[in-house]
Order: sequence, then C-alpha cells, then structure tokens
Amino acid sequence: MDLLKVEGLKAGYKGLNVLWDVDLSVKKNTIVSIIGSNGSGKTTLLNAIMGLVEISEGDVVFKGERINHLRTQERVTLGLAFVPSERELFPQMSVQDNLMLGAYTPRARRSIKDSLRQVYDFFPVLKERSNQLAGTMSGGEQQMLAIGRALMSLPELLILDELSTGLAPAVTLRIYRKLKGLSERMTVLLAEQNIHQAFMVSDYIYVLENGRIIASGSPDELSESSLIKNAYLGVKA
Amino acid sequence: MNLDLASIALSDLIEVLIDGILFGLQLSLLAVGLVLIFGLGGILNLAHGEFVIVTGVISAVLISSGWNPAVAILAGILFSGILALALDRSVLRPVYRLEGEMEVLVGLFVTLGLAFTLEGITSYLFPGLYFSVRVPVETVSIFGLSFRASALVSGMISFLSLMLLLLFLGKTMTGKAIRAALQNQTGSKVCGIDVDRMRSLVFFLGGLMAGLAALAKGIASSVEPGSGLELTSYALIVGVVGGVRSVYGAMVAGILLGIVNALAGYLLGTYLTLVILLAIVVAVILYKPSGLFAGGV
Repeated sequence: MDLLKVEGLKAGYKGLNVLWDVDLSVKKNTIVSIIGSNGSGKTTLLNAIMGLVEISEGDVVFKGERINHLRTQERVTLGLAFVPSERELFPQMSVQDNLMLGAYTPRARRSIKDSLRQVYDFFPVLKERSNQLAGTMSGGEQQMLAIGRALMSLPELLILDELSTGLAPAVTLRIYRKLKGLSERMTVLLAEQNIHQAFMVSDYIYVLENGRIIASGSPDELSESSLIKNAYLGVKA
Repeated sequence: MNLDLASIALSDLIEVLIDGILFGLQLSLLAVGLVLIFGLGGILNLAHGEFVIVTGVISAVLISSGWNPAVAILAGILFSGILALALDRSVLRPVYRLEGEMEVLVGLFVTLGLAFTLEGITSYLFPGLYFSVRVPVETVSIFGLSFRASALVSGMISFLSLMLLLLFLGKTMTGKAIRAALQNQTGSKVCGIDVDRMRSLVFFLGGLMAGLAALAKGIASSVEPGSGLELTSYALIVGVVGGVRSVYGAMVAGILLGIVNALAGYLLGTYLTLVILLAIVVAVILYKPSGLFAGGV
C-alpha cells in the first residue's frame, strides 16, 4: 500500500516552477530516496510535500487523503515528520526542550516520556547533553537532534533532506545504519546527494534532474542503468 | 547645576537605587510585550503605550460607575489583551503577507495610525480622566531607609507579573512553543506548532502585560490619556537596549535603565533623564546593534 503518493506535481517559489510533473510513491515500511545533483529540485520536492512551498498543479496524497490544502503543522498532525537540510533547531533552547517540542501534537504528547526515552536510547549523546543549548552542539550532534526531534512526533513517514551535508562520513554512516533499523516500524523518504549512501540504505530510488524524475527503480536496477553509472556512480558504461 | 558627589549620603544613594529598580521593573513590564510582539509578529507596535492608557481609562470609568475596583482593573487589563488580539486578527493580517522592510514600514505606520486614533478617542471622550490606585500607607521604613509604599507595591506587582511570564514561557508547553516560534518559524511548523496562533497569543499576552504595566504605573503615579506615545518611547528604549527580540533582555535592560534614570534624576535633574536614556540607545545601536542582552528569549 502506498503511504505517500505525489501525482503530476508542479511547485516552486513566487510563481516560478522548479518541479515539473513529478510522480512518486512511497510504500509503507520502506526507505525511498530521491537522488540528484545540487539544484535538481530535491529540497523543493520535500518542501512541497510538507506544505512549505506552493503547489501550482498536481496532488500530494498521504494515507489516501489529498493534503494539498493542509498547512505544515496539520500535515505533522497527520503523521508526517520532516528533518530539513538546515535542521531548523531552536538554538537558544536546551536539547531536551527541542526534543519535547517535537512532541507538540496532541497524539505525540500523550506518549512524550516513552518517546523521549526511545530517542535517548537511539542517540545516547543527546541524553548526555540534554541540558546543553542546541546552538552550541557540533554539526553531527545537531543532525541527531533534528532527527530525534522528528521522531518525537511518532511519525508514520519520516522525511529527511540532505542528511549527509556537512557531516563526517563516519557520522553519516552511523546515522544511516540507525535509520535502516527504523524502517521496520516506520517509512522513510530521503533526499540525498551522496549517491553511495542512498544506494546502501534504500529500497527504491528516484532520480531527479532539472525538476523532473528521469529514472526510478531499486538500487540493483538502477546500478545497471548506463545513465546512472555515467552520471552518478562514476562508472563508464 | 551644582554636583557635589562627596556630600551624597550612602543612605540617599541606596534609596535612589532601589527607587530606580522599582521604576525599572515597570519599564521591563512595559517593554516585554513590545519585544514579544516584535519577535514573533515582526511588527514594531507603536500603539503599545496606548494599551496601557486603554486599561487605565477602562478601569477608571468602571470604578467611577460603581464597579468593584479589583474587578474593574481586571476587566481593564483583559480589555487591553483583547484589543491587542483584535489588532493582530484585523488590520495587521494583510501586513504579515508583506516581506522584509515593507512589512516593517507598513506595520509601523498602521500601528502609528492606531496609536493616534486611540489617543484621539481617549483624550476626546475622557478629558481630565486619570487612573490612580491609592495605597493606604504613605511610606515604609526598611533598615532605617524610607520608601514610598506605592513604589514598593508597584514594583512588587511588576516583579510578580514578570516572574509569571517567565514561568509561563519557560515551563509550559505553550510557552516553550512561543519561544520556539520566536527563534525559528520553519522549525516550529515542522514540529506541528501553529505559528499564526502563537503570534495571536503573543499579541494577547503583550496586551495583558501592557495592562499590568498600567496597574503598576497607576499605583506608583497615574495613567492618563495623552501619554501613550511617551510610554511607547520608553518601551522602545528598553527594547532596543536589551535586544529587540529578547524577553530576558527587556527585563534586565528595564531594571538597568530604571537605575540610570533614577541616578541621573537625582544627580543631574529629571529634565535630563530622557536625554541620557536616548544617548544610551544611540550608543547601544552604534556599538552593539543587536542589544546588550540579545540571545536569551
């Protein structure tokens, strides 16, 4: 069953389209990646799914319900969670307060203590630094906090934008391994410039270029494609 | 001007200092509402001082109509909160759709227009009316030092109001959501926080704080129509010195400027105090434009 479907999506900023007729679907309990070069429209696509940019045509359907008209906070209430590439933390608040605010929706608030314990188990460094101001943490720790904050909302679909940007490869790898473990009970959609890591964790991949989906398939299928080999994997077909 | 520092008694200086702190607490109370509204709404509300006047006028009118004074004052404070909320929900709605300098400038003129309108209405309908709360005891003596009881009670009300605000912002989920929205609106939205709702709540809180400032000022001295823009000026001075998006900054800057105001008034004369406060604002803008205590929301 498709948890998320994007159909014929056109979206952009101030009337200028960045995305053109984008179709994609995300099945429950899978990890789906959107790969593409810088400026291909990955962030715009995720922002459009989250209601942070204007959709000019097409539909975003979540759990069978068209959600184009819903504001970002209403989409979060439905079960979407987003980790933006800029992390968008609250720098002058403690790690714990940042996490607690992740459970702002009424549904998440009911199990806030359990969720906090699970996030601390998932990222023990956050527990060690629970009283530290978020703005004073390292890039990797802030990324863990942003993911932890998103997990606090008990999402059905976790959306991550450019997880590896600015992080040491070892840190990114550690976070990806943890995410892989999460997909047993949660669906993950991620936009990633680091193709190798996307191939490593994903069940299905979409390739976005100039605002259009130009290829899609499982990592095995795509790794056989000459287009992908040439453009992304650095292999001459 | 004859300034002989050696002749100033320590006890006089302590009294002046404490007077300054008490006045400063009033300034802080006045400024926090302005700072909250600017931080989240992006609007420098030039009608903020008029909310103080409105509480004073409503309270005075209700008391003179035979209402219980406590109920009348509560109604006055609540009315200011509702008036601020109405401002957010009506004339400012189109302003929020603007961006950058345009939002700031249009917001300035809309609230300035509202300030003139409210001043005109209150001055025209209630000429000569003033709101003042009398404290039964004239002076209080503490450790041999003498203080005006009204200033002490006023300071205590300001302090308690500020502490309640801090508790609300620091300990409740809604208060934390307001602080979050002040720091990062996109981050707030992805947490499920309704930023528009938080902004309306902040306007309501700002109005309530202005109403409480009216009570504090009414106890210490009086509140009368026609002085709203002067009160807005004081709130702006405190806001800029403390950091125009920092609630904590407004609290500390208010107390500091209250002390400066009292010392300058005592040593140099009250006619120079506002000039000195304005000079401090200019110095802060030149050397630390973000404010002395910016950062702590």
